[in-house]
Amino acid sequence: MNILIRILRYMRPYWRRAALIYAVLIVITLLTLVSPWLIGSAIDAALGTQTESALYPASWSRERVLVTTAIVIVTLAIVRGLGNFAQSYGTQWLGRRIAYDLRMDLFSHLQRLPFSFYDRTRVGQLMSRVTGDIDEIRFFAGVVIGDVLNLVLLLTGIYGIMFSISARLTLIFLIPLPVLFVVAYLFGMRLEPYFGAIRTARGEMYARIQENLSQIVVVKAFSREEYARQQFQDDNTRVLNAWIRVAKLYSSSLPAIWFIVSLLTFLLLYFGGEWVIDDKITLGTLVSFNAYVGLLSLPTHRLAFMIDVIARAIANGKRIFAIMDTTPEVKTRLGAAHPGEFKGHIRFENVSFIYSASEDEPEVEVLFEVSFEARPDTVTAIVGTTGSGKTTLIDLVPRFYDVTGGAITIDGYDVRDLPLKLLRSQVGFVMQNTFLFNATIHENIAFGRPEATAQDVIAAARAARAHDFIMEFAGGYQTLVGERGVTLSGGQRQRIAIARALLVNPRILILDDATASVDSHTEIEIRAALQHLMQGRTTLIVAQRLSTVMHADQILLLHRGQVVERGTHAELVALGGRYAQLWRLQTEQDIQVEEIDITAVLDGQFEALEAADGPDRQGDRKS
Amino acid sequence: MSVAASDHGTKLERPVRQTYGRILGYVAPYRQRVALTVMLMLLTSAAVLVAPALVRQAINEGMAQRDEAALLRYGLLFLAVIVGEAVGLRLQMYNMIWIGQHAVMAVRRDIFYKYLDLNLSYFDHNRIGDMMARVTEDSNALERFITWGVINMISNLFTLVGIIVLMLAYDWSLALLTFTVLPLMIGLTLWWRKLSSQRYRAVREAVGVVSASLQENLSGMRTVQAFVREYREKSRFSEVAETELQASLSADKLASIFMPGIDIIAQLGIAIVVGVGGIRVLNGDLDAGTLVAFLLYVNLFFDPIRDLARRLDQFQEAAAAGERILAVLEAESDIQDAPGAQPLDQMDGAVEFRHVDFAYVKPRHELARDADRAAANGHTPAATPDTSDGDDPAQVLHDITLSVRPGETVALVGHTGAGKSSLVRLLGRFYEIRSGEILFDRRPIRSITIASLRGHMAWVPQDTGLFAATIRDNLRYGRLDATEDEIIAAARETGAHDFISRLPKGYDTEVEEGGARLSTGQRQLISFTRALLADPRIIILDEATSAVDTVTELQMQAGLRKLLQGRTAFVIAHRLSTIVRADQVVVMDHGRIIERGTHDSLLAARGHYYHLYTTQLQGQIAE
Repeated sequence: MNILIRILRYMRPYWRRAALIYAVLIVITLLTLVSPWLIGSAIDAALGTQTESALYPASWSRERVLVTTAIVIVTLAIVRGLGNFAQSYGTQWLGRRIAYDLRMDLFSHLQRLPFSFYDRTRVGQLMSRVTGDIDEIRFFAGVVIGDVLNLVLLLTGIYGIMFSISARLTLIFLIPLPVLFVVAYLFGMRLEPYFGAIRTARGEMYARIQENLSQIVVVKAFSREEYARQQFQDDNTRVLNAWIRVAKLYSSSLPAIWFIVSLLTFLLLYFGGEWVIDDKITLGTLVSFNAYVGLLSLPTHRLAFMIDVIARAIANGKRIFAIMDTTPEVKTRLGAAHPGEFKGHIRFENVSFIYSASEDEPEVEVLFEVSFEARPDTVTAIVGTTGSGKTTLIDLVPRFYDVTGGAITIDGYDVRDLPLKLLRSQVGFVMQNTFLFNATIHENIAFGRPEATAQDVIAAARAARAHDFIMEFAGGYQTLVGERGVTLSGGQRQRIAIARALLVNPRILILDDATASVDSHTEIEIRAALQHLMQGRTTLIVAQRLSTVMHADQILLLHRGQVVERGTHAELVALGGRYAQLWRLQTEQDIQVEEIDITAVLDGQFEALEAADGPDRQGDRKS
Repeated sequence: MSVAASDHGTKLERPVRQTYGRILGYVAPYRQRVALTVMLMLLTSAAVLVAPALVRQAINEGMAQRDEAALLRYGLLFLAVIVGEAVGLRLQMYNMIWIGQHAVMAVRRDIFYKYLDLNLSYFDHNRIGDMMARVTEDSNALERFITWGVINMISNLFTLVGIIVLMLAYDWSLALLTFTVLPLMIGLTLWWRKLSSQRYRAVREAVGVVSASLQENLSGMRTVQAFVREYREKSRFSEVAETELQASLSADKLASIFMPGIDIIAQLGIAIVVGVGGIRVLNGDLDAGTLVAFLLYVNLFFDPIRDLARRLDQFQEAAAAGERILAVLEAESDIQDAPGAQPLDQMDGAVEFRHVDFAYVKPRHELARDADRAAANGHTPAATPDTSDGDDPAQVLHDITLSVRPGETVALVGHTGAGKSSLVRLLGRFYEIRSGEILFDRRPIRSITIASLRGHMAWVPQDTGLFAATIRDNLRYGRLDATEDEIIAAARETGAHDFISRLPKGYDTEVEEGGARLSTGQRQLISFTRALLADPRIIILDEATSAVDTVTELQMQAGLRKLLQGRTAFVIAHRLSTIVRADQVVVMDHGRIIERGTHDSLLAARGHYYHLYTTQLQGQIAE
């Protein structure tokens, strides 16, 4: 109930219109109640029976009464038609406005939720929250509220009129009603779970087909067609069975509901007919009652579906509001400092980070008391094993996550005391997986500074060594990338990401280097672009290649969330630890510095070490 | 129906009647049930028609004549009719869904089985998304057509004709007068259908845009937040959401006109009956029961008409979907066992290519479509594929001659697109060669049954081709009857057992689609074990390109050596160690073999291989 009220609160900005729409709906429903009565008195007039209520002056001839009634029916129909148009469009309008506002609220909220939320939530799930779920709420907030109002009014109106004429008849008519409601309720509440079962079974079947189609070479190579057929037939049968369950539900409920409405007609015919014979009521009254029963049939048929929609609105509302009630833990603090432009002096003071537990994953300690200092205009290279916390470490600087212990300061300010917008606008970020939007290359490069001129964008692209390949496309900077446009190679995407970061001209630059998948020529290009990018800024770089690391002002070697070696290249080589071993690969085995994948080699070293230690310490940490 | 289909702008390529015929063929196995359902349907429709007639009799013979016995008689008859209707509806509804689901299950099965049987060239020319749509949306459209379309169409027509006949029989002049509203109703329905299909198309497009931009925003959320673009994203999204809102409201408006419009017309009919019929009752040439029955029939009128309008869409949809499905079912699978082909029970593993030429041939129907398109564009249709010219751009392999002794390893090297993958695919007869000969143990490939041929081979594809199942199921994919001991023994041999047994769930670990949770090296080891377990005579291996750490690399080498021992192997080689160990190294370029020999002899020759070695292979850490 709370959920429904919370949904209805979205009606508030439109309350005047909503009131008008529902007022029209009420008037129309009441007008609907008039028609059967008119018809009844017309029949009485035609038969010459004395009418209970004199609708027309007694002096009127019967022909005049009949013709007038016909005219009134048509006039009423036209008025009702206009009103019906207004209320039907109005309720749709109301539902859509509410859904629009709810969707925008949810969307805005999603923009503020931290990375940790997105780590745990699949995009597909969020998609169905914002699209399908809200769409079902829309149906509830507009049309179904109107339907419920309509049904309640019709029921009370019809039974009221009946009661004024014959209390006994009314009593008999009340008997089937509870049965109707119970059947409709049971049916309505089962619809969603039954269809949910179909969706699940279908989803599994579709996944199976998709997999077999994309692995067709393997299927055929191992001659496993028969096996695939069997598995598929199992899935196919499951879908069938889910449907048969629905067939049983439908066929046991819907005819029953319709039968109850027809039963009302029977009761009327049988008991009412008796009274007509006994002159207790006129034939006209009976006919008008029959028409009333007819009026009930449509809304009662829809009753079950109304219940279904309401049940879904509650379930969907619960899911949506759960997201909206997730407060973004990362946000600008009240009374935040405004230091203006950064110098770029970064300091990590005993920084720890614990990745909090979620449904299926336990709490993970990612970083443990990491301290270091990165002075303005220096390069700090971070190397380490897979899952050692490298990526998390750099994610903490622009507050994609907040530290759980210790502090990170920039120019002496705790990052949590800085306005988020200020902080992030001065931190340039090149991520490991470059995400490009389905837009032109120009728009993608100008993503962080949409007002940038074409010259600015070209200058950034040149510096990132992207200009040449961009100009090779027929559309140049106006070329669409992504699904509907050209497909870019990994190296090309990365250079666009570098240009994108350059254009923002940040004081602090954070790079997650992922050049493992590009060929050596592209890699040289990217490296040159990076050199350019790092000039005159404070740079933190998660490095994969020795060539990048060698020239850094300081190197941090991370393992299991701790800095195990630190210093300059020369210092670390002299230290004779892991890094020195890495370096020896290069000198002794004559492997070029560009060819050494640091993470992979370190992984190997530590794994060998641990294998020797015994298998008790398994480190499956998330980076 | 053909008229309806063509006015929608979808050009169908086969006679619609033929499509319907084929679709309905899927119902044929259940013809008894169908006959029963049709009978039930006629019965329930008849009940709908009879009910007002009984009311008429109850009034005329019961109430008007004050005959209580007659009233009771007709009352009970009415009760019997509605009970029969409910029971009939129940059975009818269940059977309709039952038939529809069984038929569509067979449709899905046929499509999927067909996919499994089709040549790889079909997969080269069709996107998986499109192929999926045949099994998903198109099949569902057929299901709707079979379940609801056909039977309701008949039932509606039956009801409509029944009402007309009964009204004419009761009083032909009043009936004809009432029918004057019919053209209005049909006109309104057709007008509405035409307009609404346009507007709903606009809505669908707008909805597509909304979900595309939503998907993009959510997938790129990290970039959005890193570049402080939240505000802009909001305004961008509110724009597309607004467009969708307006499109939907414009469709709603139309829908809101339709129902009240139909209602006005129906009321017009009632007014005619009341006015004209009433006066005639007054004059004594019409009885009251008939008047009431007419009122009831007019109300029954518009349901079937509205429903028929909706069915028209369903019929069109089904014709289009049916055609697409039939196109799949009729696609040719030309690679089949040649007449007189014999299974090859034992294979030594000698393989020979003699002057093999190969070109990817487009399926015939696509060639026809291309020609159509060219003709439509005013070009001269492309000539039939040219087989005389060796420079045909579609030709992938030229004059391949290669002789491999049992147990030998052949390393294929060359750039992407050199024809290595095509060459190995010919071994499994996934494609038909254009000329030349491929021999296994001196027997031509076409004289061997495909199943026995592939049964002697195992494939290790580059993306490793794992399925979303447990590791155990993946391992025994090549030999379904492998025992637990055999699986573990094989895994021990390749070295996969170590890491598998270290996983929390061991062999029961679920491998996500594409093997997402495992590292590249681990996936390769599983793939090796799968191939080893199949114990083939010939191994076809596409080596992984991406770098793995040294420990895994060593494990992989060991596993690979084990796998290749004593078997004929074709390896698309990316790793130097593999090439060095190969008995033959075949260098390919543009579909030709340009060099062959061993690693040492080729290095000494200082040709293409030498160049390849110095630029790409030399730096590898392997060895």
